[in-house]
Amino acid sequence: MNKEIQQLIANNLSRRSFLQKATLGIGAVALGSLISGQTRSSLSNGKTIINPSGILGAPDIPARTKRVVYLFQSGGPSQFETFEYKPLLEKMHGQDLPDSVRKGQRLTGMSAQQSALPLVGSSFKFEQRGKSGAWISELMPYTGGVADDLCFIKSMYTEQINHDPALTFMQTGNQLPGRPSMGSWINYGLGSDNENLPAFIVLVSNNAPQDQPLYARLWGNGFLPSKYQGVQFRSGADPVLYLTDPEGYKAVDRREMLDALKELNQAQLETFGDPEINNRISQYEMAFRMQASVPEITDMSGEPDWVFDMYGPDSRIPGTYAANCLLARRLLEKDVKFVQIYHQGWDQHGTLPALLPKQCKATDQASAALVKDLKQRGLLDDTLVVWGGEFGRTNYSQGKLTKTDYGRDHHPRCFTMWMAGGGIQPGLTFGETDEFGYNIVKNPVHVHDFQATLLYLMGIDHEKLSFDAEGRRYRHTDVAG
Amino acid sequence: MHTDWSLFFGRFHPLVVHIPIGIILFAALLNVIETYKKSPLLSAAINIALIASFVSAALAVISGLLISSGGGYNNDTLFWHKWIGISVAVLIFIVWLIRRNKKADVHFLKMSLSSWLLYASIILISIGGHLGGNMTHGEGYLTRYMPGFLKSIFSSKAKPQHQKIIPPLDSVVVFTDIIQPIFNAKCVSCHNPDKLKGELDLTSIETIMKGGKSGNTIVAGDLDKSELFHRITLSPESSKYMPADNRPALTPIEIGFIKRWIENGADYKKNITTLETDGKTKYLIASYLGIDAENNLEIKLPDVPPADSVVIRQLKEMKIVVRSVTSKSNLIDVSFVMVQKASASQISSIIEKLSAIKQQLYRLDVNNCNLTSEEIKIISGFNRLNKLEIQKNNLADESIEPLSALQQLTILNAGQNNLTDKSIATFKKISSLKKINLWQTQVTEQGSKDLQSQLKGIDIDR
Repeated sequence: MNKEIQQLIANNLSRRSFLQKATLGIGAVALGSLISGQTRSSLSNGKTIINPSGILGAPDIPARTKRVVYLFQSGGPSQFETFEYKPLLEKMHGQDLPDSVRKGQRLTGMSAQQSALPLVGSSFKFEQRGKSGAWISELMPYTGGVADDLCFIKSMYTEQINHDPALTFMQTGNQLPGRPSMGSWINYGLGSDNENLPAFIVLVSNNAPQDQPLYARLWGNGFLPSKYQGVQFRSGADPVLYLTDPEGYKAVDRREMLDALKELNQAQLETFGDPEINNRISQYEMAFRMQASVPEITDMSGEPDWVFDMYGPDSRIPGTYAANCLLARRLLEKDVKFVQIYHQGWDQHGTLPALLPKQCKATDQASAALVKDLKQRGLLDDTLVVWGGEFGRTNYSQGKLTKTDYGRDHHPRCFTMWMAGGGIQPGLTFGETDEFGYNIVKNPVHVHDFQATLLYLMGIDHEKLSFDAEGRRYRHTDVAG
Repeated sequence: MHTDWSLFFGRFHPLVVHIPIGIILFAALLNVIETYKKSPLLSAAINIALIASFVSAALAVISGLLISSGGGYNNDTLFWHKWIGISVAVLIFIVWLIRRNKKADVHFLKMSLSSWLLYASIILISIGGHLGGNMTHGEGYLTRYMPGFLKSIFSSKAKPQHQKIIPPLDSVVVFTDIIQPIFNAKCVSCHNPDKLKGELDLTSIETIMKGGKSGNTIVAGDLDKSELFHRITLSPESSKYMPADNRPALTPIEIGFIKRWIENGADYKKNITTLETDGKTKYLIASYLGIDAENNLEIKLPDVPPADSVVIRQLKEMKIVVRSVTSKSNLIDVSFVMVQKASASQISSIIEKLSAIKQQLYRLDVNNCNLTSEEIKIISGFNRLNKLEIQKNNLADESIEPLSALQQLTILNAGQNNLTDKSIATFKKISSLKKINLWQTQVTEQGSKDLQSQLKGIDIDR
């Protein structure tokens, strides 16, 4: 039977794979040297690398953090109503944005046609919080409570002015789709620690307005082998479907089935040599292990009431931002390397004073609780928490400015993020914008800088982690740095 | 840019030099054949090969002399390479002469003189060629990827690698640690006591102060009058631009350092702390010298021999996460995250197993593993530990007492255990401790204050 299958496969050998095989055969020697070239940095110094599950084997530099949880606030949260206190805007409320500040910067089509660009101050009060004295708005009371554990970056800037390219840029280092996501790069570089769970897990809030799209390619593997892509847990009571075996079907049966399937796949692999087959095999194996590990993780019944109270009432409803934060903590506790949480709905072009409080209310308490919870469990030492969106918002109102209402347009020139935990200096505010909150005046941080920093904290030199695709080597930060 | 004909032809040296090598080797081969099978045709062919190799060798010598005039090579190596090359050319010519005059071709030890000389020239070519290779590709080019067993044979030759010694930022002397190394890297290949281009020698303080032909090489505090600064900031197209001959230019940072040094009086003794430097300059200097700017953010790892790979494999089979701390160290990070549900006997056998790699064990995560005082006793023998996580193990004060033996521990996560203020005495003894987690223990405010009074600056999470 095996022979028949092989014959069948051989008959179907495509032109493409023939060419691939032929060239691969010729280039095998060269390839061999390429592969050893990739790990040369780890081998040449004569040290024994112990965990070769990632391409790097071990971090280039001592890692300051082992895990990352990225709380992505998708849509571009307004910095002016959250962390960026600009009293001048309140003073100049309603006056036109001076040209000397704007310096002819391009605006989106949404506000470029406006006859006036009236500056608008925050309609929410600010207060200094913690020993560090960080200015935080009344919309973020809980985040204010952990201000001393956070490091605010006020001077983030990006090159993209619209959601999808900016999101893609933030996640992959390029504005066009097709590159691997941050979590995929890390997974590819360092591999997974806990083999029973995927190294890169994605959680999307179900309690957020879905105003702007969120594509699965944002956590995709791009040109990397597919086993490095983010695994999305569904936002519901059953985060991973079909994990339970049907009645009368035992784990041994499943094992037997998978073993047989593996044999078939192996036969394919031998004939075609397509590395994607290997990835498929490893994904089946991962799914099998997840049958045991995931139910244990997602079963929240062991969590005491005070934990739910800490994350807020939403945390009892699966799939909400708060529940996802709690789930993230449970995943991080099990050494999952990269957890990415998305919460949409931060795109307040209009009716900002009415809409933004809802966004903050849905996320503020749980974000802060996550930091606190990681800290008390001693995990914050080597876990990096990142909070932020894809760009900032304008200091002028989009649409009509009334006494109670205004909106803000996209603003890539500056925005605020915060980070906490592994390797981050707590209580620090990095970078500064001008009094108008329009331009950066001190320590600008480009998206690539942020990505390089994140990799650095994980122990990766961003210039060393690369992948050969489409005829050249690619990095997460591409040619920057 | 002006054309430097001598360098233009000189650069063909690496190309030309291979022509005589090939022909001489072939001539030698024919010569070997000739000893077994005499033939007038063969003999004529050898003579042709010899004269051809002489002509090409002469060309190689000329181009070699031209390229060496550009400077920038190790003088010792160059000396031997040059004279070996010339002697090969001469030798080949002599061989040719002798072969033409049969009477001169006397026999020693059953071999003709011409054969002796020809084979000797091949040995010379091997040595000279190797020296040439060292000059173009760098020393150790051949041996870098040599398999270990061969390396051990050649190990006596292996030179200890030069390691840059990095001084602490505060003790950096501006001239000695920053300026002189820049000169050494970019200028002294021409401006040294041997070459003295422009009568300038930049290898020592005295000669720098003396200056070159114009005398005003460096004028303290005056950039405009300092010829050196003027030359390195000219447009690269200018014939006066330095470094000349397309040698690697000074980087903007290096130029910046020289600028500040001259502006500040071109002092040769001044320490960096006496200079008025802003944060950015300090950072630049630090990163230029390879010192982490926020001094000591650099994590220094102890050097240890590699761990026993058999033990590592066994641990991995037992579902223990084992990781290298970095690719440049043999230290190991171990986590029990996948075996938290394992039986007490399993856990304790794994911990016993860890003793075999205790030299390498740098971080250990045994959270939530139902540890008992027995296991803690074993763990307290892992004296290399830098970080230990024993959260959620129901440990009591008495059980953790042995941990005071861990004198290199900086982070201890001991939360969710039955610990009270009695444990403070244990923690106090761990003098290296920088951070401790005591969440959900019965340690009181008073207790943590007590600990802080002993271990200054310790970070306590409660």
